[in-house]
Amino acid sequence: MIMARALVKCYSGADKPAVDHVDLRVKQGEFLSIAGRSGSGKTTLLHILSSLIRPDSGEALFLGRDICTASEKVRNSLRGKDFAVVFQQHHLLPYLSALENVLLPFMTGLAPVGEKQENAARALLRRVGLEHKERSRPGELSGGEQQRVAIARALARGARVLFADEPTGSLDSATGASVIQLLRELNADGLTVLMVTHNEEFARRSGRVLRMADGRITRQE
Amino acid sequence: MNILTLPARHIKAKWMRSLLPASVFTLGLAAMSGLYEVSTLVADNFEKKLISYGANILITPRRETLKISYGGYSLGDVSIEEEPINLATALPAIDAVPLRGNIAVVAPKMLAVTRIGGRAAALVGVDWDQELHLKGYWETAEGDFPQGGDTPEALAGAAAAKKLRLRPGQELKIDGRDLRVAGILNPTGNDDDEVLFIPLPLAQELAGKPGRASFMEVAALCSGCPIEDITAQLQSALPGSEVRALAQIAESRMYSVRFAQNLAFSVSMVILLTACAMLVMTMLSSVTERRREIGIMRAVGFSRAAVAAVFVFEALFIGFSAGVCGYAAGRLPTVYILGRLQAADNISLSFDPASCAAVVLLALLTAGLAAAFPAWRAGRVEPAEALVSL
Repeated sequence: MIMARALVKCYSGADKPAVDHVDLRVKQGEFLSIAGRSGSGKTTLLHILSSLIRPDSGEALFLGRDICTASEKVRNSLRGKDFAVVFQQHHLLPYLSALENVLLPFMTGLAPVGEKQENAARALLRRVGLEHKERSRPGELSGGEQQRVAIARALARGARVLFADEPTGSLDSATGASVIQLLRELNADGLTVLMVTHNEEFARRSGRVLRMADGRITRQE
Repeated sequence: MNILTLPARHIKAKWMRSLLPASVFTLGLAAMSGLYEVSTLVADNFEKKLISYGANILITPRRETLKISYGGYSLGDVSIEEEPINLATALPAIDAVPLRGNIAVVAPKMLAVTRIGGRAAALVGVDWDQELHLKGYWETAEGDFPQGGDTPEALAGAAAAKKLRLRPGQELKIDGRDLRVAGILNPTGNDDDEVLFIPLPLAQELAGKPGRASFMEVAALCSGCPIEDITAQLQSALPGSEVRALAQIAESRMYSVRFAQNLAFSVSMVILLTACAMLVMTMLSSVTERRREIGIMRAVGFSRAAVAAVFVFEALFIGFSAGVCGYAAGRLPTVYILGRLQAADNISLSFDPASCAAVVLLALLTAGLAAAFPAWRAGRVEPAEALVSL
């Protein structure tokens, strides 16, 4: 489903690449963890694969199509439909309710959000166990609940791949475990999941683990 | 819910933050709409008052100049004047011109000469209503202005009164007709000092030309149209007369009016530009502070244009509310300033939908322009950088 070849990304001012000639292949329906220490390049790799940034060289293919050289419009479309990204800091809009945050991907134009989309958003909140919190603002939700809303939002447009960047990083271990369990359930339903984590236990609960160090993939388990 | 939900919710949630630029913008628009209204109303009122400082158009019978020379003897240039103006046809013709609304005063005059107490005296027959409206600068040194009693009354210029030894209340007999001196004018420094003003019908009778006028003075309002247009229309309505604009008078009057309007416009523009700069700065700081939000939007599929639109719509919301409030608030200083200028006589303020719409449109346009650069910067924010840097 996703294939990367010789990806290189070097940030300006850095003396060595954040991602250094990485090759990668992700199958459809796979739950892949990328583990490594801080600064190993795993988040940069995730951002390249999720079309948030472009690499300096190399290619990343999604269903055979190079997303690195695709136009901004195509990359926007990928982020809006096929890809979903979940971050460590939840990143919800504080002035929108939980339901409205889930519906955010549908608010890109003047066309009003339809009843069908609202029902789908409610179903997603139900799926992550927050149907009773749809009117709550992020400030009224716990960290775990906010992350669940963020996951629901990520899946609102029927994404095929979920990129999770340290989704448990700011949660306690019990809450983090429940989030990982949710990701496993979504994966079991057919969603492809790529997760960056430095938590060994959570990494082992995925189907495959890639170890990164100094911008390179050093091991696969 | 659509893209408009985002700026609306953000303004609602951060209303204190939105209040500052909205207030400054409202103040700017209030000052602008208020000053514009004041300048327009005062200019109209001012011009009406300026009318009392004399005429700016002169209508005289058409005259022809003939050079006569015969048998080696030259009579020089002889001016052949047509009959005096027939008021029975001239006044209706003036009433019928398309720009009649811009004509404030039509003051016909008949000139005559006579002897009073053995001395030659120049008489000017006038229509008192029109003349007193036209000569608002007249003041009486002694006595009063003619009141229109049973006995015809006269008003003497300062020099004429001295020369003819006239005093208020004095009874005169001119060619067998009774006349009473109502008052003596203060010196004016012009031809008015040398003559005796009498009722128009009496002057026509003395001159033997009833219903006629030697010439007419016209005071026209020039703010709505050039004086040349009024002159041309009067000329075509009065083909037997010569109509001349006293251009210097008209221009000096319009200079005063335009000066007031230009001053108000300049002040308004400075205020509006200041408000606009304030909005730009606020929006720029908002873009910086909301990088995370921008990153979220971009990460869930918002295009650069959609992100920019969120900020433009937010500025437009502020602009719209500032436009409506600014128009309403602009009415208050208008009333106050008019009162301070003592220019509120005969001026009434009323709601004008067109003015309100113009102010709101101006506010939207200014807000849109002010938001353009910050919105463009918002659209340039890279999602990964915005989200990872926090």
